[in-house]
Amino acid sequence: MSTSTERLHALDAVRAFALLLGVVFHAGFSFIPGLIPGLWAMTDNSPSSTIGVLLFTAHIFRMSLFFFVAGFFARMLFHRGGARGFWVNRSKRILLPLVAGWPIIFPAVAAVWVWGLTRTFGGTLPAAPANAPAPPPGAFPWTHLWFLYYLLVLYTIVLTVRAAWLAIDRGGWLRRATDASVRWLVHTGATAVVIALPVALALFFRREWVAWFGIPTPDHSVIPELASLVGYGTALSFGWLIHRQADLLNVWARQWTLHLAGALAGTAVCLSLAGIAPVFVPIATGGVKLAFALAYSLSIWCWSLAILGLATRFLSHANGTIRYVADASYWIYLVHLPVVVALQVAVGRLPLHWTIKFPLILVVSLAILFTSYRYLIRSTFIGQLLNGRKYPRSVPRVLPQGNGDPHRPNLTTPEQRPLATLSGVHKRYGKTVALAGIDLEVRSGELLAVLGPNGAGKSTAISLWLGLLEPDDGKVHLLGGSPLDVESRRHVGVMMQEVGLTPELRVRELIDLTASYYPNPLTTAQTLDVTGTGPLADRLYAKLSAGQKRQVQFALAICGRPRLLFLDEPTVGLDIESRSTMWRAIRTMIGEGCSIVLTTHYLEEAEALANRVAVLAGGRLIACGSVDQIRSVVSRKQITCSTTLTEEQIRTWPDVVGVRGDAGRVEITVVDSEDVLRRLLASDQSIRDLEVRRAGLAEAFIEITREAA
Amino acid sequence: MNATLVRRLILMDLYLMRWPVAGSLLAGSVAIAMMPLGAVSSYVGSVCLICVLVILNIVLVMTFIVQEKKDKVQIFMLSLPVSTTQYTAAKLLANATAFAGCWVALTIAVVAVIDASALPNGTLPFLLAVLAYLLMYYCVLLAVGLASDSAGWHATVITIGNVSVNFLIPWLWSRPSIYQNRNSPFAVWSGDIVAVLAIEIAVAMAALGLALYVRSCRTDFV
Repeated sequence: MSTSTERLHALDAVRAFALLLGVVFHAGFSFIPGLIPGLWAMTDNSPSSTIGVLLFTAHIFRMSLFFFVAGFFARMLFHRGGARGFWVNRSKRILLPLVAGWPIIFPAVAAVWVWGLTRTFGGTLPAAPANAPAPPPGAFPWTHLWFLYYLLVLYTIVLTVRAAWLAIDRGGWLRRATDASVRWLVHTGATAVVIALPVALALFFRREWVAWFGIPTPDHSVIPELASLVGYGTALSFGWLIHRQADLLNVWARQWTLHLAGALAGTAVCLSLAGIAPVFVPIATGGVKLAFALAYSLSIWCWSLAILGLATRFLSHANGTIRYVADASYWIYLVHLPVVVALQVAVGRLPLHWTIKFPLILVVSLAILFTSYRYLIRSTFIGQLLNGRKYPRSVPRVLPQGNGDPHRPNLTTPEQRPLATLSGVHKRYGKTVALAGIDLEVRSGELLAVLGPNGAGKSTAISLWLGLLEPDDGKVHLLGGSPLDVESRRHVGVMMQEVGLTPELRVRELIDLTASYYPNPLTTAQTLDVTGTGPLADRLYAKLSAGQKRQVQFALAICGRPRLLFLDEPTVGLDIESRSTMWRAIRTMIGEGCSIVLTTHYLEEAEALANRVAVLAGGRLIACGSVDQIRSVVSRKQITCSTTLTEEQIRTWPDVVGVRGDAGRVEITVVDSEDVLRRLLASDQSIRDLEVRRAGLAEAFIEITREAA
Repeated sequence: MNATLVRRLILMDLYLMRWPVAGSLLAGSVAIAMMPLGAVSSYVGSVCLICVLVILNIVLVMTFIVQEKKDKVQIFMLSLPVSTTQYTAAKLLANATAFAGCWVALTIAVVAVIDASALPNGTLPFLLAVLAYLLMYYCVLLAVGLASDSAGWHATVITIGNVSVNFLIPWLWSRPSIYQNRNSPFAVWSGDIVAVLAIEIAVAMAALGLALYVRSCRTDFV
């Protein structure tokens, strides 16, 4: 998951889910059993305990989840645009909808309310009760738009705290300590417990807490409610903190079952304490209140983390439909209340069961709201305001490969953009560290040779790029998307080190079958021709030699005409002719613009083919650069000559690193070749066949990996 | 999910499974043909039919799921543009289609032979309960094959599955509703037979559902 230029599809989906859940919540409100007439615009004549439980559960987490995502995106925005850019953006996206929207939405809500109350009370509006409580200080009817006001208040608080924090923490140690603590907390799986505590305390100490409705809805005053401020402030601040280490979302993606279990258990406890039907009176102070506050707060965060984990796990890829819904959800939430309540009022007295009326309200209201978004908002200045862009009337269906966002400008040219990246990737197998914080990228049109001793992590890196392994930590991107995205993998060819193919099939059948998975494959004849596997075409795979099987695996890797090809030790077991054929095919593919990642133990292979070399050892990237750059890491040279001097004599000279002799010829590895040459010529007048050359990739590799060890 | 891709994977597997399936259909047909020939041949035919289905079960799961994982064919398939969900769905559907196709054909043949021959129809509920047990056994083994790489688990399920048939048959036969109606010209579907059938189907479905869930949670395939 990236936080820089890429759209965060999972969090977009979560934000949309939280907002649309709000629509469901309000749509079901008139069906809550025991609803006091007059408390809501309509009290339906077919109440439902099922809806009561559904709304109770949804209301536990929906706003906290929303504020968490808001905090996450707020920090992203702040770091992209700075303080000024942040406030300009928030003014347009939050303040303006509040200021411009409230004067329209409030009268609409009020009108529907009057209509509903009139119907509820038999045609006349009820008089205000004589003992009605006095309006709170700073009373203001925000309606459901209170969340916009709270966002602005919380942004102000968070940025003020941040400024103070930076003033105190000039060396950054406090931030590092905080990050480390958050990381530790997330990895322990106890995040929900710890983060729930401030909310639980705020709720417990609130006087006159109507517990069934959880965190009080602060929709009636400009003076913030303390419990709401703590509840939603915790969520927004935590979202802000998590953005500092966005890869932690991947940890929650692995913990979602744990959090879901906690959420279900916590919700069950709350319902057992508070009852399925809502209670509209404050809960008495005591043990039950404390237990409810703790269980409720824990449920808030268990639900939120479970949903964040699920979304990270399953919705991190670009999806046009989810994207559309995510864009529409903000508009829908802003204007849904009068529409939903009007429908409640319209059907509230009909002699129909709630199983008909509730879905009817939802379907009709969402149809109206989505249609209004499609035709009135998406392509207009309001869409520009709410979504940050104005979509053209017809949007291309196919998302580009890049960041999945057809309207976000690409900041780099295709040549500069990496095709595949590993960023801060860690991977362990039990106690064995396979990769320890690798950063590696494959650029367009290059052959990247990945070298390293056995167990260095080369095959693990390839498996991560192919989605066959999941990183314990860090980010993996393949062709602008996730390695799990099948669409990305349609442009990738793979030759793994150890794989099996269906032995009962013939080579031609295997190529036909494999090519059929790709959008624009080579023909079978072309594949056989390029890879020199023509003579094997009609033979059963099971009957081939080990080298022939490698040739066939290479044919399968290239038959899909890949943009990116992974070759994991491809020439092991090949004879010289087959290896030459494979090298020729590889060079042809690079010439046609294909990028290749090659792992090999044959350094001459890397030297002959690679544009860039990455050396891994012990799970770390210890050197990366062009072949010349890697060679230059080793400043040594080799002198070869025929001499009467003995190895022992030469070995004692300064600047000589090693000497190897064979039949009167010696190979001397030196640090300073000029001095050694002068001495050689002075010591042996009969010296012959003198040759000086720079150290090769092999020497460099040995030196680099030895130093790393 | 890309239906074309899944269909292609299924067809490939069905192609590879054609000989075991054809062999089982042939052997099963011979076993069923023996049933109306007399008391001994009826017993021998029934035992042979059970053996055929058990062997087909083990061959399909162990060869086309477990062995493929061991031979790393699965890694090759997952390195292609195929998602784990597509691959799992294809493996499950192909394998289940092969076995269920065979099972349905042989079960219909059993019903037809009993109905058309002098064999009493009263034995039909008993035979169907045994056959449904074999279907359940297959589903459990398929589920374990899909969800687990452990040879120990596979061996355990096969052992329990094979041994338990020997306990199931006498237990079912001793049910009063079956024993008392064994020579009846009509099949009597008593409450306990219906319950046995329902449990067998429920266990089969639960095993497959659990396997899909476990499989969907898995993130490392190397």
